[in-house]
Amino acid sequence: MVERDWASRMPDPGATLTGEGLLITCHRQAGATLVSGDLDAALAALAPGASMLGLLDPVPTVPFVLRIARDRALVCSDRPLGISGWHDSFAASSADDLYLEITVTGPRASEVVAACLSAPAGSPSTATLFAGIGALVAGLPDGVSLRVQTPDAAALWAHLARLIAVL
Amino acid sequence: MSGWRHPTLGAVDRARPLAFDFDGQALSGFAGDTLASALLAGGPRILGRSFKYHRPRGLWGMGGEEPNAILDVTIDGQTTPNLRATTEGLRDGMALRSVNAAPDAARDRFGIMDIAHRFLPAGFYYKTFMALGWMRWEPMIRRMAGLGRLDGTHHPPAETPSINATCDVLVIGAGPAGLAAARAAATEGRSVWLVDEAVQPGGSLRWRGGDIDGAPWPDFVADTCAAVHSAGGRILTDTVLWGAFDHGLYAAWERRSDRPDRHWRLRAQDVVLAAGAIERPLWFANNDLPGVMSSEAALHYLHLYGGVAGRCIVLACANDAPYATAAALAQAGCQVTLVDARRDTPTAPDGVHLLRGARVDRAHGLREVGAVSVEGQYIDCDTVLVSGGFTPSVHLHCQAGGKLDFDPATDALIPRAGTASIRTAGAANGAFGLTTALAQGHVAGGGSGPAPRATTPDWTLSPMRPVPGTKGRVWIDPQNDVTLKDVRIAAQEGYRSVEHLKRYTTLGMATDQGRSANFAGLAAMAALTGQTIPETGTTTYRPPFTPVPLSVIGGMRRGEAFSPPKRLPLEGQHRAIGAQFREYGGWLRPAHYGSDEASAQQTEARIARQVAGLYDASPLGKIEVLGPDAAALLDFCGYVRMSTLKPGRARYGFMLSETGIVHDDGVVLRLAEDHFVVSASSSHVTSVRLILEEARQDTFNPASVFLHDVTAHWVTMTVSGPAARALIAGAGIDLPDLPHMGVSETTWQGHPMRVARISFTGDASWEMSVPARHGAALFATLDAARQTHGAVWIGLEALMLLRAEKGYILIGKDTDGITMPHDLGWGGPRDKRADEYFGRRSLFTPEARRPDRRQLVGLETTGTPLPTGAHVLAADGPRRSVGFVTSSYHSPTLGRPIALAMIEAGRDRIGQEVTVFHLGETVSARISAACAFDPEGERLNG
Repeated sequence: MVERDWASRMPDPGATLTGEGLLITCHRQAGATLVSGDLDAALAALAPGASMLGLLDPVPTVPFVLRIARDRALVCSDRPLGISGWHDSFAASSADDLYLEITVTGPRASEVVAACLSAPAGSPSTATLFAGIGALVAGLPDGVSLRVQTPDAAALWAHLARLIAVL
Repeated sequence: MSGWRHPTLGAVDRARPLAFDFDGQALSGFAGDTLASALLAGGPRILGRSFKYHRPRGLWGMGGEEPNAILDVTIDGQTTPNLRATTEGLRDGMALRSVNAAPDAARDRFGIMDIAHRFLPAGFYYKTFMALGWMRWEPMIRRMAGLGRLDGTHHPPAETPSINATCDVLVIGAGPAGLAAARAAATEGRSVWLVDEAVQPGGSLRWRGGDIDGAPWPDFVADTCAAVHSAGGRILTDTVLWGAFDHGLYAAWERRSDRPDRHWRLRAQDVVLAAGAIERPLWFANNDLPGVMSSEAALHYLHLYGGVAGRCIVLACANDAPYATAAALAQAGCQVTLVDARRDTPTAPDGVHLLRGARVDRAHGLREVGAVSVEGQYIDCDTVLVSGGFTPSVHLHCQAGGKLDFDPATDALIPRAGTASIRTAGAANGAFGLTTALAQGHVAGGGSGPAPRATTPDWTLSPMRPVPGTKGRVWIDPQNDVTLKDVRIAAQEGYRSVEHLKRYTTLGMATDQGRSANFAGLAAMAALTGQTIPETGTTTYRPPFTPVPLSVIGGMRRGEAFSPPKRLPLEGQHRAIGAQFREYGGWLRPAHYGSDEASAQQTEARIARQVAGLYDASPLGKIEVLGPDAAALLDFCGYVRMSTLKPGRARYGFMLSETGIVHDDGVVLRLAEDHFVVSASSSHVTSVRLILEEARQDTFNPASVFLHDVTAHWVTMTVSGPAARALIAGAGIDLPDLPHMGVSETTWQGHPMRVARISFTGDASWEMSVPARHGAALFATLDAARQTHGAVWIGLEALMLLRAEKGYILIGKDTDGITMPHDLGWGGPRDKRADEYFGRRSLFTPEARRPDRRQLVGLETTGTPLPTGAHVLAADGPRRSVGFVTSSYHSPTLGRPIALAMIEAGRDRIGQEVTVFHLGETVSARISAACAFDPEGERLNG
């Protein structure tokens, strides 16, 4: 491996990969805020009524909340909320561009999931390894929604491109 | 004499002949052949040479237990070493090469080793080659030893995906017991995965045949497959389940001809092991000659491929199983003599000459078998088939933690029920007969109602074991050239455990893992030491059950995907202006702009000092620490107090390990009383976060302080140099009025922007951070202004030079695994802080107090830069290394080389002359202060 020789590239929002029965699309998050602490208070302040999702739970329309840990979650919104700092019982940080969203959809999406995800559904946390890369994984009606930290998106994108060629 | 192809038997596609060669000899087979069946049906007898004595060896078995027919296989110009002929499908144009032979198996010149066999018993090298030192002999022995040869040009593609799957019942083995288990479970509505290494389900039914529930066996297989599929299950053929791991994980390698292989990671509620059994050899003199092979394998090749092992055949046994083989071979036209050690035997099959109560004493022949002695009677033959009983394939049961019991009735070690989370059925459980195997499988699969029934009677057997004192050379493990004599020597040496026997003799090692040899080895050991089989014990069963290519286990994450670096959001923008990238601390970052690295570094550094340099600092950590205890947490985890920092200010500090070693350095920004940002160095963001997180959870009230690593949310552009302020103003960015180490949160074009006056170059610098989606716009704005002002983008190579001019360290480059902060000239907190902080106590150990600890200094020299890593020798006193060069560059600003070094008591030696030694060459240098440029720091204030 030559240290300069990295063929993979960051996917731009809107980029797609296609395979038989598969459509993989890169999206920019509309808005996201990382919250910790009293999650009930955080949700009440930032996304009243939003549902908290665990691993592979189906994604509703925004706002919704992806649980990351017992006391940490990502509030997904339709725009940047611009809220950060300490708020009495919870901490908030702007994370609009922390993740890129990659959706894997189509009849064969489950095969991609099986090749990348070992954790079974049911975990209250969406945070897991997907193809060995840290990601927040939620469900879609015909696939999955992945949020991967932007610097890791190139590696995951390249992996998915190779995977759909060999499945 | 070799085997031959029966004109009608077998399931090969005779309309599709395939050409191949073996050791240069042109041969042909048919589609559907394995390498072994094609060679058996028309190839040479000698397929390889033995490991130590270079004895000629031929085909023995029919599966993964094959010890002899190991081949290097070339297809499409690429060679894969050490493939078992029994498990590889034949393809047109294959070139097969025997292993461990020169020039080839038939003419191996090292066959002379066999003449000296008396001097080469087990363990001879442990003793013989002590003389003159083992290291002298080892290279020679290694050159001679080994099996296949690696093809350095063969790089198997990383294209095997690892796929996770779950099911209700995993059935390993699609023979009679496995099929019965799968059908029973599927009938109960459970999802069943049925896995078998053969290309079709059926197991021994495929060559032994039989009726089940009154119908031909293919109907039973079809019914079972239909039941499995209708219950939502899956049947994986050509798939080796190679390992049982903790927490119920099973690994399986699925071979596919039309697409890349797949590696399955399976988890099931219940697991049924029905992996069958492996036929044992018999232990007479010269039992390793080509032409001596497994009776069951001969039947397998006859019925599946039409491959006939020979024409004049002696079949030696002490059980009922080979009678079917003898009958089939006789029917195929062979002359068959059945030598059964038992006096009470079944009736001889038609056309078979049966010798009751007789044993083969010796096989005769130089290069292959030509006759046998039976109770002193000489019988001409071209093939000797043997069946010394069966060894259950219990590997996966044991890998899953199961124990074994010795069963005298079958003379075999069988799984002890309830010792592993796996149920065993059929031959793997010691049930060597169709009816019992079906019944056990049905029960193991949770079947209700009657089990499938067969009319074939179960076999009877009389135990056969190696007999100590047998005359001649009796092979126990043909792959490793272990003889009965070697086992005796091991016993005489005092070894009692079979584990010791294995290490002393190499019995049971290598590709076959002694599957046809281990029981004989431990039986011989037991007989020689007067112990029972249970007392002698078994070796440990470990994955893989059969050799699995590393490319399968490695999967797709190789090469670029093995440890991919993080990527900058603006990588494309940097590439567009000529950036050449390199990995730094886990990030792919611009090393320099333009093709020539050396000149680019110098030019970029020079212009950055004269005008301004811009660089992408996005990878710098942005770990937000929030909450009432944020300051206390940072005080505890940091070497430099941060609680005294005022909002809007930043401070440089260190994070130590528990041992007081500098783990990272960086700047902490205080945005509010309860809101900090830890700007960890790019390569340490994760570890710094984890250190903070551990302390947060273990030492502090975790509800009072929280960590958010939002590094990737931000793009950070840094402009540094005397014209930096003007450049930024020219870009239309309204900079807040900040002192050095001042921080402000502002806006730019209506978007959030954080500005920090922090410098890693020694010049006035502004770090501007915006949400990544606005990074491209900031880049474009700054780049336009850069061109107006004659500034440059600088890569990491120039940045490294600039920071070295200032004596700014890079953790891991200018520090090592023993560097403490006071070694770097940062003794203040150590001397003044009385409160507890991470690593504090380690800073006061006798080692930490040593006056001669290596300290950071500079080195001045003339001519070319000093080699990084070169040793520094004191000019006087003993000639020894007192330190080493950590960073070294030519400074275009100073017009001379600069260097940083860690030198024993270095600060006390400033001004001393030293000698720098590297690869036999020495140059003179003078120890100086680490900072070589602007020591008063006037340029920091712009």
